[in-house]
Amino acid sequence: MDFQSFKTSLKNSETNYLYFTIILIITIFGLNILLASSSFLASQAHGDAYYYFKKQVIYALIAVIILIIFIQIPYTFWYHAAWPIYLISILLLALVFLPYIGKSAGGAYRWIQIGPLTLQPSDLAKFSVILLLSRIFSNTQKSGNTKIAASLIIIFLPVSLIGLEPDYGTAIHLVIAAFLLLFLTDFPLSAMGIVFITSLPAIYLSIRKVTYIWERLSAYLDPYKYRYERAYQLIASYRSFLAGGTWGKGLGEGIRRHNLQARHTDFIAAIVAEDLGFAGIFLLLLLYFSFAAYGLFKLSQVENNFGRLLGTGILILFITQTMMNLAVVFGVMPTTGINLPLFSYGGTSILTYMSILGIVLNIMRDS
Amino acid sequence: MRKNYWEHNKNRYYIIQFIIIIFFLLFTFRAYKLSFYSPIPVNERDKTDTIKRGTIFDSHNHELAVSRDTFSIALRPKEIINHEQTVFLLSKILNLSEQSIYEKLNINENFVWLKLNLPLDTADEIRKLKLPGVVFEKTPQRFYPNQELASSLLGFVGRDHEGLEGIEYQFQELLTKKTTETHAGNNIYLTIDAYIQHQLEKSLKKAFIKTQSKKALGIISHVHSGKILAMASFPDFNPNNPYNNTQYKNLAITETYEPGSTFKIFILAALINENLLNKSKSYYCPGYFEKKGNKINCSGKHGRQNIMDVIKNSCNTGIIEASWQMPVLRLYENLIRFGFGSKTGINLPAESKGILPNPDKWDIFLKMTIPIGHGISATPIQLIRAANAIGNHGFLIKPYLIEKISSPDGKKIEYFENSSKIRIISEESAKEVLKFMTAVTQKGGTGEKAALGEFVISGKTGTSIKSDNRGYLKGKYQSSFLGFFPGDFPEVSILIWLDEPQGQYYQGGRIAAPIFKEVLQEIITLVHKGNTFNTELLPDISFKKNKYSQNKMPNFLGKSKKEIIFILNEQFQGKHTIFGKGYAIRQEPAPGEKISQPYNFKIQLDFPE
Repeated sequence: MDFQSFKTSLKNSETNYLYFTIILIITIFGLNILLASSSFLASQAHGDAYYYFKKQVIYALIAVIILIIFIQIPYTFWYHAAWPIYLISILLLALVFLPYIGKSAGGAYRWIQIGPLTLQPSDLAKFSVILLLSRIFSNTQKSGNTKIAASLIIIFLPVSLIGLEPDYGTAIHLVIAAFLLLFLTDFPLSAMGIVFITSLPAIYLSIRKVTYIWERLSAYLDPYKYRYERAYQLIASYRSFLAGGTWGKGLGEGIRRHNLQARHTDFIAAIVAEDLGFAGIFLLLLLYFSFAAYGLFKLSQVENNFGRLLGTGILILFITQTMMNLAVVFGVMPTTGINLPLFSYGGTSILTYMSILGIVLNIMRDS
Repeated sequence: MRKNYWEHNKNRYYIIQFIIIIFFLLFTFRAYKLSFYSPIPVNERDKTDTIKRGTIFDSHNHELAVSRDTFSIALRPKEIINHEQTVFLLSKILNLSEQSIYEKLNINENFVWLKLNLPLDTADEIRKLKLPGVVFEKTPQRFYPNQELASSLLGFVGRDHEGLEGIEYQFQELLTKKTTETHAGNNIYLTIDAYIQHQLEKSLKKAFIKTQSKKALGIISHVHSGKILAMASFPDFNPNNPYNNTQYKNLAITETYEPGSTFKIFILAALINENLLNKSKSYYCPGYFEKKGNKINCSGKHGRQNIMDVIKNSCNTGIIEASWQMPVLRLYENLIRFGFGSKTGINLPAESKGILPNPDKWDIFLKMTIPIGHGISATPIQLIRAANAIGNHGFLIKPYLIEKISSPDGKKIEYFENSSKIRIISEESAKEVLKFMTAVTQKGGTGEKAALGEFVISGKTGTSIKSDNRGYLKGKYQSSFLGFFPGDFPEVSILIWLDEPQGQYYQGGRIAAPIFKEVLQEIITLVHKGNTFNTELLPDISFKKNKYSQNKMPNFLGKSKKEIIFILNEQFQGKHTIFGKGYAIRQEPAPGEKISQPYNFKIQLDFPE
């Protein structure tokens, strides 16, 4: 690959400000909803209605700065960093299980505690898999069996570690995103079919054997039977939609927020539904989906294989996570514990997404 | 391109973009369905929660918070067909002015609440009219029969009947969790005694208003078990209508303050326990304490005094000098053992843990201020826990509030007792500290206003200067009194605290000690069992008998059926009619009217609006 030539071309190209603006709009929209959804909980739990909001504003500001920095980094840098990042993320995923370093919550080992910082290594792992696959397939040599086998290992090693935590939602998300990316390369469709068929028994077994998956699934199938236990969240979410109507009750006016437990994290979209109604939800969908569709269109014009694949992979991560989150809130999928990118409360998530969207913006300069 | 190379396949991009657009449409369709054709069954839509929230009782089975069913009525203005007729009928039945209803209709909203918490029959009357655009929501109502009593402790519930503060918030799940076939949550029995609580609030409120303090707080606890018998904060609020308030805090657990001189007893306890107190030494107080250019003022020029007088006079110089020989780490460890710097773990939301600086931060100034209760901060509940350790002769016991929890049918009862009991100082040391504290309430002591007749009272006054992040604030004080009854073999501990009292006096001994005495006087028969140690409280005698005049009609309004029958049986036997459910809202004859035997009263009960 001739990096020198497009390094010079990069200097002449402009950042896609439209795209940058959409990211900011989504973030600011999200902060407003976060304030509306968390103020009550915050004043109860911390004596300060702005507790979560303030923290999230700080995270968002840092994230935007990181976004701007990442836009400046030539994406070729990531080509060279692909392997180290992948290995580090595998190491971090393993560290989660170590005592003193790993932090367990609710029986799951998903976090690493470093001083005051809590890291969720699976966030990095998702990116690292996309990055490494992009690097491997940027080599346009036709895929042989070695390449196919290697990419499967690259995907399933972190996926199984994440599954062990256990965090099935994230594991499934990574599998979907990785295979969608492979769909854009010459990875044979027949191989994909074989992988899918061979994993069917494993999928069936994990659904039946792992109680919490089964519980969530049954709650989803018959919410009213489990209305006070498993399906409590789901029904609360339905009620938010019902109460919201067309235009909603007004920002911060809804009352269902008190019933929703993960109101400022996984179920934040239900707050949009109640406070801003169907109109608000439509706006949210429009923002996220047009963001993804427009981005994919722009990226499809990128000549450089690595850049195109990496940017596309990141957007696929973004939109599939969005869809998985909304599917839960909309009651079309059992609870997965996946948050809404750029919207939900949480530092790691917004920092990760802003950084990798910075990479996308850098790649877009090349289209 | 050579043949064995793969090519960028734009068609695959189109497929993925197509899928994204399809999903966008699917999601939009689903959101549309959820918003306008909700999967929630129509008959379920009115109901927010079919589980009846459990009742909160005090330790003598008096109801502190109960739930009942009501309906709230709301309007969907755009769906109303005949405006005039709708407004007319609603105003008639609900007794609202037509204008006020029109005002609500003209707000550009889809949904406006018209009237909350209507009794079931009124709601039914309107429902029968089948007016389009008028909707009902079943809104269970929480009722606090004692109004403001223990409000900051109980908390309150929101529109959706969900606990938002205090016990209601902390035990939301327990109170609403469906456990049996009955549609009701568990009942909670507190260790609080409503009568003691009332006496505490009465005296505290009087002082709170008189001294124009910013805040006031009182805690009464049982020293041997850690049971909280009463816990009050001012300003308070009425949990039946809490929304106009901004202050809901339970100061006992949220307020951290510099305890001032009350803290001296823990320094003293540490010194005695570590065998570092020289009782024959005399301390000279020139009115200040000075070391290496740092100066701390004392409340007066106390001159030469022994350690007993140091405590009695609450002399800063004396206690700092006495503590000076104690290594910092030793003192720190002792204070840690008394529980400073760590939460008590009492089952209430938003507990603070105060600040006990790490020993490496103790410079010469902190070493001077900590013995007099400045430079550290603690919550009132921490102070009570630490004090109880002295009162019960040496054990640190977790304070607790929940006596028992029963299932709605009363079949399953879970009792709570304190299991952890850690000895932190020896029995002898604790007894000795109590001796010092007894001197405080004797003639000439700073706490002499807490003395009560022949009873032995022990305690310690506290007056601290408030500070902010810039330094100490001139003229702003916090006054407190922490005391035990009986003084030598304590059964209960009482903490009284006032924030920024105004007026001539601000010292703890002047304004907090009298409140202590006043409260104690009222509850002494309930809490005192005599000089036997390790005793429990007396059984149910909290039902204070009010002696009513035999020829003047008593005021029954607001009293429960149980209470009324109790009074009637005791003092006004005759032919009475009591009808309805809930609390007295009407009575015949009216309160204060002349009555004579044979008595014949009519009392109507209901739940007030």
